[in-house]
Amino acid sequence: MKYTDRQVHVPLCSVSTTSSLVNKTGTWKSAQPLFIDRVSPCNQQCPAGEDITGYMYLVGQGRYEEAWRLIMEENPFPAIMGRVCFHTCEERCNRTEHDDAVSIHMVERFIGDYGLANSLRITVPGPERKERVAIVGAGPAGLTAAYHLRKMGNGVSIFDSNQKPGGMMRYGIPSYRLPKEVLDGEISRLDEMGVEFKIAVKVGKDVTWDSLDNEFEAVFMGIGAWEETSLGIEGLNKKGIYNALEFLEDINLGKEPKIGKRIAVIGGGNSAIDCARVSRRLGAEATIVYRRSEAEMPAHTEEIEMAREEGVRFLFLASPKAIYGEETVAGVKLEKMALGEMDDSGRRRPVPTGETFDIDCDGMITAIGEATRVGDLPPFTSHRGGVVEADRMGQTTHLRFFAGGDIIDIPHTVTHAIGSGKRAAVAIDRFLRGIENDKDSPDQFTWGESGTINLAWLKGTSLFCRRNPSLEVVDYTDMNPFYFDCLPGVKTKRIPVDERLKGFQEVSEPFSEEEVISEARRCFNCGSCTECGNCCIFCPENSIKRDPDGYGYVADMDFCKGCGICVNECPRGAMTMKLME
Amino acid sequence: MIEIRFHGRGGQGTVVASKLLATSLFLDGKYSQSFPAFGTERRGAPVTAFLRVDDKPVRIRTEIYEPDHIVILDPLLVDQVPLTDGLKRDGIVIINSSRKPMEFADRFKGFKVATVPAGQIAVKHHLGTPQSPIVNTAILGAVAKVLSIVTMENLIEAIKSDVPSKADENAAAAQEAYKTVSDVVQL
Amino acid sequence: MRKVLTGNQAVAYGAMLSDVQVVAAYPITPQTTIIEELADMQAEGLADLDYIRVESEHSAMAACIGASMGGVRTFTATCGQGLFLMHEMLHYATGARTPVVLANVNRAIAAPWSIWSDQTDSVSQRETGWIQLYCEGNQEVLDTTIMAFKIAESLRLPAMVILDAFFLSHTSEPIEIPDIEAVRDFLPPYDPGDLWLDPDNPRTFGSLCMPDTYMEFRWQIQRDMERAKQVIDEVQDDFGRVFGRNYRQVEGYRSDDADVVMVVSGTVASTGRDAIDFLRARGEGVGMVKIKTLRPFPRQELVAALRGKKKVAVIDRNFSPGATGVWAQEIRSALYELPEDERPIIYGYIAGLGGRDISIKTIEEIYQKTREADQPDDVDIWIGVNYV
Repeated sequence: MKYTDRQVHVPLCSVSTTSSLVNKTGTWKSAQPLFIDRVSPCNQQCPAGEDITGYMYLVGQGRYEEAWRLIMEENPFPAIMGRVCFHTCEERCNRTEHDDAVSIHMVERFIGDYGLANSLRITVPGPERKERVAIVGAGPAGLTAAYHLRKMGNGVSIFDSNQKPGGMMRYGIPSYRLPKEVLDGEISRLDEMGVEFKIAVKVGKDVTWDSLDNEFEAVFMGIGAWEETSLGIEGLNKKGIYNALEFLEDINLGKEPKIGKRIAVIGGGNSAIDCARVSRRLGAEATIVYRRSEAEMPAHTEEIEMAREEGVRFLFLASPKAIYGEETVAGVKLEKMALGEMDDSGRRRPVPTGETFDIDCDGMITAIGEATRVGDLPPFTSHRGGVVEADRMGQTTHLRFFAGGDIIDIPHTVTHAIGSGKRAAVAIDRFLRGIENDKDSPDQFTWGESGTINLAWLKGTSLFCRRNPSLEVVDYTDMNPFYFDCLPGVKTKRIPVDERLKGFQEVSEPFSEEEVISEARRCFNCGSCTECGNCCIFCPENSIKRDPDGYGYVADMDFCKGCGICVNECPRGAMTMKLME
Repeated sequence: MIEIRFHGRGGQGTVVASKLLATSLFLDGKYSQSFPAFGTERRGAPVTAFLRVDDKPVRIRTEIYEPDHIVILDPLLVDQVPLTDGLKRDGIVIINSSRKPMEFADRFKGFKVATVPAGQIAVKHHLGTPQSPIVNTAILGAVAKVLSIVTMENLIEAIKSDVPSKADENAAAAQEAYKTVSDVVQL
Repeated sequence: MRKVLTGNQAVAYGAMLSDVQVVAAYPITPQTTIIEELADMQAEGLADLDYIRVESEHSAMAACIGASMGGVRTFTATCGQGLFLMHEMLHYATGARTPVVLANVNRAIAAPWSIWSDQTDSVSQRETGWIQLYCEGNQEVLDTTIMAFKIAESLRLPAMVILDAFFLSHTSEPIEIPDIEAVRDFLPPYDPGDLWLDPDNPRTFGSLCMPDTYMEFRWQIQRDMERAKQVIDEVQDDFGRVFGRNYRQVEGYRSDDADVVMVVSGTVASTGRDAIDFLRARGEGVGMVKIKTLRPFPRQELVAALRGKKKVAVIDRNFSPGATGVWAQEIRSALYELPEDERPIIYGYIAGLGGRDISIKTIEEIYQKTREADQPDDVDIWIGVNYV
């Protein structure tokens, strides 16, 4: 018989007679994948609670206004922040394990400048509630608290004793780090949002604390630390001796402090660096005298580096003992120090050696720390040496009074002040709405282990849909580095030193748009699903699909066999395996 | 059937020359066939290409062992490659050279020779570089004139439609070579 | 439209005119310009296809099988070593019944390294269940590419279009490019029936097959290969009616009244026509038979063409070490069914390996040897080998 006359009872090729959907491979699993949005180390680190991975994602796609609005959810001053924040986020960036950290601050600066250049505005309705909040001190903490409270629908009045708002941002930071027009531009937005500014009004003198207590439903205190810590040696009243705060204030007011040609700056913090770098701009030689070694300096590394570039000299392990000179300072007697045991700050303690030596100088600036003027605090405030007693949200023992910025026990930086202002705004808003703040409540809306607040997270409006949100911080080992090329980061460019020393021109040059995009695209977006689709592509059971109802993906548990390949192939640690019981 | 063998170097456009001529002949209504001597082409290495043309379809698919004519794109090959192997007695040799045909009397004794300064023409029309001019379109202008097997009109059309770049310059080079090629001299 | 095209361009045009939907390929000399041309066609919007870049020929064929299982028209091209790397997947394509079309540019096998033409690569795939269609000119290459899709898809068997390296792949000649609408009428879109990977109705394909059913699947491949002989004829007839160019699996050239018949394939058939004319003009009683299909092997047609001839000279541009040229093996086996008095003497010749030219002189030499010897000297005779 011919082939064509015969038949067999099988199909043309081997194929199952039923749909493979009858085989519920989901019954095989002992663990299941979980789409989990975790906290990136940069976000966790950010004292202002910004969603860095979120705006990197947007900037990478050229969505600048959305990026600006995302930052503005958390921090009213992106252009300031991109310049003066010491960007500890970059130290924690997982990319440091891969190639170079993403230059987060330069991207933020670009976005901040984009907002200013395009006059982007935050529109808020008029106050929804009759309760009003007084803010005392228009520094970063007070302005931030005012901004958020206003956005939350509260009426806000802000008092400041200076002629212009800005606090330390205006009077403490030299304009080569923060140009005044950037500062003015960002603060002016608050004005337009209906924040009432009561400028050149000193609370405690022009108006009493009691009157605020009576007239306002809540008061935020952010009066800062304006008293320079004294060196505690003789002769500080000689001519040519300044403390850092008055020196920098004079500079920022455009005055020319009468200071010599060879300046000794005492201290190792950022103020000391500022004073030394300003001195160089005034044509003087500047030497920083610090009692510990460079490794213990609290000043930021980049600041030290730029000071060195500008010719600032450093004298370590030396502590002032006496000041020479008749009317005017002529030199300092220094004692050589050695490093001893660790102290509470985790740095090695300076130990006197008894050995002394002299240096000549005709000007001296003390910059060894600043504290709150105790006399400026309301009498009913409980404090310890000017550090106001407050809970984690900033509420003081006088319950209608909240505190933030340099008067509470946090690092004295603009970013920390902004974070504290936001925390207090949340606490005040809850207080006004009659929601009790107990000691555990911050945990409900703090982000990451360090407890900063991200408002979008709190409101559930994060850029990346936060499903199964976790406070767990993603580290490099959670990533799949295969998916990320090694690409060196864009380096910040600085203007030449001779240009810098001619005046107060901004030192760091902005990134170009291309550089900003390339930096933003280097971001791993740690812990956030960016809908890259890897989980979907690699699933051997075809069980992962786009979430029909929203962002991201869903796994069909009827077919997910728990192999975990999706979790392995998630580039950014936004998935985990959960054991089933 | 006419069979032509092209000799050049990798980079001069030898294979393209044979293909352009095949296309021109096709436009003339002829049956043509062109192909390279099969090898691994490298810049500078001697390259050979072939062309057949007939009034009926070309069926033979072998290399050309007894060409009717040869076309030499690089005059330096004269001392390096046995160019006239198998060349028929009446065969014409067209050489890219600024010298006169008589100057090749030793090399091509018994053959007919025409010369054309295709290299200079190519350089003048910015084809390739002065060190390494692309001479294929210029030499084809000379072929059109000397062998009278293809119309200039269709050669220009083939060049304009098929060269990857500088169509007008290549066409101009062919035109110039057509005008400047020497007379055929029996050596 | 007529145009001067190389054989490789002819393949690409054939695939493009066939509205191929997926191409997955890996470059290898002398095939590369096929896939370059297709990539260009896609980039220029001339061909609406998905081009999958892969890391090897094995993956290329695997991707083609997957795409074909997805129910779309699929194409790839390779040659020589690339075809060898595909070998495992070639079998799979047959068993999975995916009508992938592959253009293979015949390239000699290494070592020693060679990029030039011979058929050892494709004849080595004889047992993979692929239909093999050998071509003698660029027009046949283009036409066969189009026909290959129709043949493969109606049989659900993969098909290979085969052309000689350089002698076709890099040779330019004028050919007729059919009108795409006419091709679309001739070759409707691929219809996979209900045997395809439907995401909405997922089924398991190619799963483990127990001893009690395996043979049935393999038997169907053989049944359809036997059926293929008829299908190829029908498709070639249809093609001839529509486009006016006729192809046969076995084609005689001045062989009816010949005593000695040369059996050839590929470009040797083209040169062979000139050779036969040359020998005939000299008064020799010689003819030629061109075979287009190695698989399925056109046994009956060949028997009919060679029945009663005195001598048959088979020119193999390939060989099977320890046996003979592959065409000679096949022909000896086919002709064995003839009664002894009608059975010609078979002379097997190995020629043109590694791109060595098979010229009219070569064919003349083969004819001469066949005419002069009453019996072949050996199981096969190597032509042009420089013995010391």
